[in-house]
Amino acid sequence: MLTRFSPREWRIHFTPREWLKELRSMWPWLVAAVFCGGVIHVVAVLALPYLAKRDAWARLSEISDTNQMYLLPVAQPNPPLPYMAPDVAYAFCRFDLTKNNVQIQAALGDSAWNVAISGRYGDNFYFVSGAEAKRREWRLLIVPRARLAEEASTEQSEEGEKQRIVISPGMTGVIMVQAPLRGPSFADDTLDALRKTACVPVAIPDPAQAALARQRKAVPPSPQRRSRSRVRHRRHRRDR
Amino acid sequence: MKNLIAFFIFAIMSLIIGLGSARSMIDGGFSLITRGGGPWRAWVNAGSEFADPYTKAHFARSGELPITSASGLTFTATTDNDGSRLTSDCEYEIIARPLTALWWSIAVFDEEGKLIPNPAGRYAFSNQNLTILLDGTQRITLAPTARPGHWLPSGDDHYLTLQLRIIRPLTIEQQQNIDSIGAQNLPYIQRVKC
Repeated sequence: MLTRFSPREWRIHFTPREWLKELRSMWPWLVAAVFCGGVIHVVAVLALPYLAKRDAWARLSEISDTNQMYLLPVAQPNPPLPYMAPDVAYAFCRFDLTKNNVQIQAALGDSAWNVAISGRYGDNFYFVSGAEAKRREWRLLIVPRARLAEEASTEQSEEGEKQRIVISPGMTGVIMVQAPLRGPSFADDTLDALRKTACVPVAIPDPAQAALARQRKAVPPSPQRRSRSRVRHRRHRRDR
Repeated sequence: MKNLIAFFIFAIMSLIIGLGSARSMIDGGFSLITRGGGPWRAWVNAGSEFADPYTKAHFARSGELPITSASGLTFTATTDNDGSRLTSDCEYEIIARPLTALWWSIAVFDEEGKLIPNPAGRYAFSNQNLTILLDGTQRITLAPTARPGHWLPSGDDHYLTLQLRIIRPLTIEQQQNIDSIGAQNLPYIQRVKC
């Protein structure tokens, strides 16, 4: 058996059969290693999105401020993100909803154009392409779930159908507008069209005003009107 | 001493099994979360709110920002159809058939996902600028030096990555089931010479 910590001694004293015997005696450790490896595997996979220092958000943070639209040059040799299509023009905005809501104004120029809104960790929670859009001009208001009630009762009534409210699961994320190019000669035209997209911070509505608007919406028909209609109904029955 | 050695082996084995398998599955995926045919693979849950942890980890590690796979698919190939690694030392022919989609394109990148500089300024071909030949195919030659037809420059001393990007597959079957795009519809990558 092992008495001294010397690899040379092991070679001298241990025959392959003895090694095998030693390994057999270690089987609980081997089983534990496989089990522990499984735990490390699961923890690594689950933690990686939150620990990655060079994810899309981090890479875009190096070249941009929040709540502002940026247009990227087509087919640049060192793109901010890997594998960016060279025949697509990109505009992006990193949004932060902690102090305000964010409005995107986009004019979808082609059926293949699209707007994708992703959360901080890349989960794409809203997507619209030019093929689906009923009109070219788009206005999207990004609102965190916690403030939805206030927005639904104010913004929608003021802006009506012109503006669509998008609920963001988190307070930060990335808006990416992609415009596939029909050919290199169309690049300038496409970039000009893409320059019209905007990412604008919008003030959060006053909660008191929002509550008032909600109350107005919830008010039932006035009792006066109801009594008049009842009177009319009674008169009608009496006349018959 | 024996216990110390056993613990040392245990710790090393745990790390190799745990981190090694995690890295392999995050980088390369596996059949439950990737689909494709031949050398082409696509992450089926890319960009989805309900993406599995491996897909989320893959894109966090790569730094890409995918659009939801319900609206677009990105297939990646790093080998030819015979399984050999794509390199700029070889010449390849990419044989595609028109795909039913709003827009699709094939682009070439180096192994880090950057474009390969070339004097022609050509990095991709899309359904907008590929001509259909008499046999119904669309052919691209991937080579370091100029070739007649649709030539995609591959530069020097690079491992290559090809990406096929499809926006809005048009048929309902394709939107509902990524498998219906099928291996037979994905471009064939044939090595011509090295």
